[in-house]
Amino acid sequence: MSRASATPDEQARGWPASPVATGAAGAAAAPRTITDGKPLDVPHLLQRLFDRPVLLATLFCVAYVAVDAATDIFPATPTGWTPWNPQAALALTLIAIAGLRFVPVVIVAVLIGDLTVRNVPTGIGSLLSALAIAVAYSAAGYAVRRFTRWTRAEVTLRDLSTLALIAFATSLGLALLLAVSHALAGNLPLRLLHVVSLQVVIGEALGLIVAAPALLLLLSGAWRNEAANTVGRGRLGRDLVLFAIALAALLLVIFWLRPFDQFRMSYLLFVPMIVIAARHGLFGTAVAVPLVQAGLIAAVSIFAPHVATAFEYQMLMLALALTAMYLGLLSSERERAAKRLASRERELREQRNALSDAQRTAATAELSAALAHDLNQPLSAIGTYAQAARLLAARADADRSTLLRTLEQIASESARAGQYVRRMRDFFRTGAMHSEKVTVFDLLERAYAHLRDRVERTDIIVETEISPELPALRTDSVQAGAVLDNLLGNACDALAKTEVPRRIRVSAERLAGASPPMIRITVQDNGSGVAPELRAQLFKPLATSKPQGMGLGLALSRSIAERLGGGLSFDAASSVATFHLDLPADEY
Amino acid sequence: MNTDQNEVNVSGSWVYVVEDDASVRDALSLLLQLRGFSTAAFDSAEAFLHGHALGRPACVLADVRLPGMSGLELQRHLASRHAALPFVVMTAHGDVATARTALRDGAVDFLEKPIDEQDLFEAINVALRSDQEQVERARSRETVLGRMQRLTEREREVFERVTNGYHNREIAEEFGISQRTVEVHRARLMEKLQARRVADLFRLRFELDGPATTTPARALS
Repeated sequence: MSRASATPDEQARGWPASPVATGAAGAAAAPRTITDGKPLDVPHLLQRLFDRPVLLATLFCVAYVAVDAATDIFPATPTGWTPWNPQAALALTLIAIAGLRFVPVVIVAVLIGDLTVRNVPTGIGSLLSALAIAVAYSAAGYAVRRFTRWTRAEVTLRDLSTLALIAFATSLGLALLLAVSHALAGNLPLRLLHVVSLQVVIGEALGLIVAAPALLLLLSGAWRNEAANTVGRGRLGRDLVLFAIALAALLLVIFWLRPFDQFRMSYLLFVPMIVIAARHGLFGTAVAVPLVQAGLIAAVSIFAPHVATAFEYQMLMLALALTAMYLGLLSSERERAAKRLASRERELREQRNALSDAQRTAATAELSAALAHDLNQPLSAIGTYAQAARLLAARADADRSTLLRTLEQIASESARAGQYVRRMRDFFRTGAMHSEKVTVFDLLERAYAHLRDRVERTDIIVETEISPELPALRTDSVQAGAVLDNLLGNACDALAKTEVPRRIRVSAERLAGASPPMIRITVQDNGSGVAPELRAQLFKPLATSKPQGMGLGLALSRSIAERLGGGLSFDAASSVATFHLDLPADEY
Repeated sequence: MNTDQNEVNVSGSWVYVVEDDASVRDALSLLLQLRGFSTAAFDSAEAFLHGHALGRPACVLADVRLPGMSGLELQRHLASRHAALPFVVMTAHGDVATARTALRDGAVDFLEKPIDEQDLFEAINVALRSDQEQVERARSRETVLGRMQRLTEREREVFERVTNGYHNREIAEEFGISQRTVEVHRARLMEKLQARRVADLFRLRFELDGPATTTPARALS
């Protein structure tokens, strides 16, 4: 005894004043060590407690013996085993958080408990028994520390199952040890061996499963991670008070009013438990389960004080605790997954916004270049015509008809420039889009007007296939026209280096199965097609196969088509270069 | 540049306009015709290549951006052939890279649309003058070559040695003939080539071979 009490001091010398990771087992022992990128968020007082091993050891022994004494009810004969041993969870937690160097402290605490609470006769036998129990608890604590993340990070399904497994393994081992030693000592008839073993298993496993999760989470500080999962589902404190009231009321109804058989009504205890588990996840459950256990033990000891009954209720409690823990954990995991998903979505949204900004900038640059080019042509013609007109007018033998024709050309070129400016202004117009009824044919006709010159010059044959029964489009004709314009322009560019016959084919049809109804305009050309390495970035801004990347660009065209409620896609499956422009139909 | 002093003879000078925009093409042709140039307009580089042999002196006024073969490609294509016409490029979107490429490949000038009239005619004058010189050089070379045809084999050999700076004595030794005979050959070939002084022979040699040549036999054989 005196030797054992000296152990904490020995340990104190080995415990660094400021904890640093010492060896394999040291990482979790130092509560401020960073694990998984998260600081162990142990509350300040707890942290200081773990810095003072002597104080910790003393406090642990006091708490252990106090809990042992408080739960020393319904001891089973002849082992003296009680149906609920939460002190086991205390020992497990100490080892799990502070490490194996506290094993002697556990041995001392178990010995004191045996000697004071149960008045076990002093002797080598009880010393061995205490030693066995302490080693079992310590092994369980070390297993938790080594194989689970209860004291460190977010608890997973695997961690919970491992803890349950550890609890059952520990209790089975102890049961075997105790029952056999009692049987050998001759104070246990062999036919009662299994009953006694079951008693030990229940008392031990329950002690661990009911109390260990709460203790592990609270004392390691990991509860903050867990509690953070279910923030926004109501306040835990308020809900626990409500839960305690509901629990008390239920217990009173079941055990005191007793409208039916007590035990058969006990399943009602599942209801508030499940509510807490669903609402507050693992941490809420970990705190609520010991409340139920305490209430149940109290009710049983008041209203049905039989050892056998107590063990029956504890079987129920075991089922309740395991069900609630798993449910709470699933609720936490679900919430974690939802949060991860939300943050991932937020990231994606931000990326998309950044991308669309970049696209807009690129599109604006390209538009400005296109505008400059388109305006420069008529302006250049006007300037040149004006100089010609001046020369003509200055001549004595002024050719009036040539002069007139030149002046008419100037007027028509200035109209052309005006048209470009209007088109561009319409294009840059922000906010409201016109939604008008326009037939595919009209749209094509307008786009074709811009290209007639090129098409005829380069001997391109334009074929159209538009059914007269096709419904009209409901769209912005200027913007949709610009997209079609761009597709046709691209086709012309692609055909410029192709041998005759050069062919562009435009067809329109209903897009099957689209809701709202859509019309698909398909533009094909028999040019060399789109190079496979270019396909992936076809719709990216600034992607071009043309040395003077002009026009609106496919990136801009696609974003316009999408803004119009449609889409623009490249048909990789087709043997010739094929683009599909989908636009909403004028029907509902 | 002083256009008044070095004005080319406008009539009979050709400007080939290669431009895909119909209005710009029409306006440029009209203006150039009013200024007295002969013009031919083409809407693509390919069309120009199919039928441009109209007349000299001439120059090409081409847009950079053309359907099919671009203006710059046309310029390179022409430069690779013997009949390199002086080239003036135009563009509706002036970018430095294109201008640099055009000028490096030997363009006379790079004009930005809308085109300044003064710049246009200066560029065309430079281009035409350069072509004029090219035409004249070719013509005089032709004349000289014609006269060379009339020389005998020995006279041609003597012409080559003389224009390489050999003395009559050295030439006589090389061919195993008398100095007197060399003098006779020399007098005959100078008469045939219409040269009054030895310096004239050197000038003819220069015209035949170009300034940088090191293998004089090429032009003679």
